[in-house]
Amino acid sequence: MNELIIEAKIENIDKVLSFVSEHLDDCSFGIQNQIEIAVDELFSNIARYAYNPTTGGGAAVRVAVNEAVTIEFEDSGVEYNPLLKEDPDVTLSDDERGIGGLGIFMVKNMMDSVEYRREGHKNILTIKKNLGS
Amino acid sequence: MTIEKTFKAEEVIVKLDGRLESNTSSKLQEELSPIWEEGKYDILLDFEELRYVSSAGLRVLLNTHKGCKAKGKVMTIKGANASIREVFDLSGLSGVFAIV
Repeated sequence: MNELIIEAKIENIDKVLSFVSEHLDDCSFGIQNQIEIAVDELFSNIARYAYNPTTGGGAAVRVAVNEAVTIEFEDSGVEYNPLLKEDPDVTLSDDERGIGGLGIFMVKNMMDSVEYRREGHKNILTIKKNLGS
Repeated sequence: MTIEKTFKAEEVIVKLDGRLESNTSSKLQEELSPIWEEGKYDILLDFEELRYVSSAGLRVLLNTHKGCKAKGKVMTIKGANASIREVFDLSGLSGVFAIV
């Protein structure tokens, strides 16, 4: 897998998206966009919540492409499994609506698989998108 | 992402080019808030050149929609591609936003 090690902060999202999109030349426009949305949701989650904002911390993003695009996100922040988050109610009226939980909900819907594991002090989230789907 | 604003008599056309994600959405929020807070204009968002919207972008759009509505104004979205429509459908916001 190709790997990018980078400080987990929102300003770095451009660099992460560029790194990932370099590997997506063979994907359709629609799949590229779905993958980039997933990367934005997951990296921004790490940037916002994994570390104490004053001290910060690093993240690794790894990409492999074969019959599927596989992307792994690793951080050493607080233990957090976003898959345990309850799905938002997407049927509420505008006055009742918020955006909480929508990011990971979209990732789950747009990717073919999303898996979380805790390894030592690390959070590792792996997403997969089958090509041609 | 670039943001281009054109002021008409009762409407501001806001044209976006690029990706509306975590980093760029705060910039859009800064551009749109003063417009709906003033309550003088409807907002027409031109998404013709926009690639996609992530949840951070949805937050700004929902916020703008609510802000306009509170002032008796309307936020309308035009030119959204299939990726953006997919996000609106998944999030249940297709039925909330005025999309043309």
